[in-house]
Amino acid sequence: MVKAKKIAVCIDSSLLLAEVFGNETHSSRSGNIEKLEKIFPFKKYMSETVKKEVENRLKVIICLIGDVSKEFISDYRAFKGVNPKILLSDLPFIESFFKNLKSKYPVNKSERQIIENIESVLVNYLIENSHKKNPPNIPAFVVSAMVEFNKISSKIQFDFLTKSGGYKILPKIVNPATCQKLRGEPKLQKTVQRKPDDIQILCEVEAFQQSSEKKCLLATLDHKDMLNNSSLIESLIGIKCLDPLYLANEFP
Amino acid sequence: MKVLTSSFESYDKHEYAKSAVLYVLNHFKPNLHKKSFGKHYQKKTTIDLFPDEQPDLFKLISSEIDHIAKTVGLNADWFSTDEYMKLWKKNFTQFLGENIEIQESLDSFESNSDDVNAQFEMIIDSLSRLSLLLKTSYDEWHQKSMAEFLESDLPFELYNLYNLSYIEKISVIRSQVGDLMRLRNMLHLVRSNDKKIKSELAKFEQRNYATSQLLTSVSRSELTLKFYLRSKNAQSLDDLFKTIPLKLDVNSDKQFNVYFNSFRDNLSVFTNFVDRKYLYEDIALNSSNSESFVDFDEKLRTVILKHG
Repeated sequence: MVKAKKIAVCIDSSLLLAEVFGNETHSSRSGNIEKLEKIFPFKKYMSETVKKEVENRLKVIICLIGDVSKEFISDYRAFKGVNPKILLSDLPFIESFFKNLKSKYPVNKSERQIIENIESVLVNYLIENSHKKNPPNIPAFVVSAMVEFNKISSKIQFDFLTKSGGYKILPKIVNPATCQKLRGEPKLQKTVQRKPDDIQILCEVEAFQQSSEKKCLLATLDHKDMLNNSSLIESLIGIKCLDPLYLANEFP
Repeated sequence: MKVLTSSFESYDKHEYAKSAVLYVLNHFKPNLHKKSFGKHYQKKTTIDLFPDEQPDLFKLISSEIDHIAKTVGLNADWFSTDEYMKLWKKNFTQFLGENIEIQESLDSFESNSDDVNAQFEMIIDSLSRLSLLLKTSYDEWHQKSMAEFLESDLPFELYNLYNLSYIEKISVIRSQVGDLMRLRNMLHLVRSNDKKIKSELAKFEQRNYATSQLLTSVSRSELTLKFYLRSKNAQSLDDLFKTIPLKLDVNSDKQFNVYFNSFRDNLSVFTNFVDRKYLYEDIALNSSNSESFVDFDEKLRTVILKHG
């Protein structure tokens, strides 16, 4: 068996996503690497591609929150005109604004879900504030709602920065022959088509294994593309993909 | 419709508080001296925390602004570093006038005390007051920042990062205070052992050096970005100090991304350097005050997890 010091645990995007955004079930699996770190002296890595993939996903969602809330606030202020107070009778305006916006997205799309969530917090926020002894005027209301959106988005950014900061970054270097081997494998064609970044990540991990002379393990929660093809991937490029829950078995 | 940013004061007191922190930290330049005491001229080691020459805050800021203006290539006829510093000084004087407790603590540095305990007290007291000021004015700063976002044409992500940077700076100041208190106690414990005094100071300075390097990098990249955005939208010197709507034209997009990525990268390194003990306490400032937003965080995370 390879010494723990000679093992590099790499992660893919599914694991980073679970670590940053996952619920308890996800976290208990991804948190397993952290627990093992306290027992075995290995180093953990992620490739630049993994970081970028998660960062871009976060960017898209944060941008949507900013755009939707800003658009709503602009229309709401125009609607209120000189009327300075928030009122429960403003609710039909909110309903109509979001009805129009939601109609642009199919029901199951994540954009639609975000918009529905924004709609729900804004309605509740208006009710919460209009019941105060001194309801805020419109500028104070819209700015404080935006502060709340910023706090939540910032907390998510904070978790991303702190959690991704715990990993060393692998260079974006690949061996072209490895990529060709993976891309040419008939059983991996679905992954090649649907998730080209997964192939790129495997190639980056393989290149690191070659250059660092460490035994690289790829911890992942992706059953469909990675775990179900684990034996095949290992036979092709010598990288073992495994569920973090069973990582301990690889250490002496 | 009234512009939201017009409801906020014209100068940014938080920037001046951060400059005051820089001024205080520049006082920490410890030296060891041998001094003779008593009838028998017994030699004793004394520690002087302050440099021989008083740090000049205006020089520090002036050279920073000069550097940033050159970096962003600001060539407007209404701009010169000297004119900028005149307005800066005016605002700084206003800031001190409105925050007497900060003025008092900064004034104490002019006493030129060579008593190491008094010197420790001055630095610790000033930094504590400044971190408290930043903490208590967080809500006001956040509202001002969001008013700017609503009137501007900039990514929301940028304002998430400004928010984190603000909070992390509070943590780093508090962590410096904690380190200074520990150092003061350690130096007292090893007071008769020169070797141990040197070793304690070296240990502190190693950590302190890393902190100031990272703090400088993150502050400089943030200030460069802010200065760039304001200078692109300013019509006069006065606008560089005001919270105004900020727009990006097609030609500025590329440069904006360069400064934005640099700020993001520096903040990422900084976030992972700041002492977790303080950081996790201070991030509580960012907690929601509203019941309506309670489970928005969780819902959002679920969507992000499934997105794509």
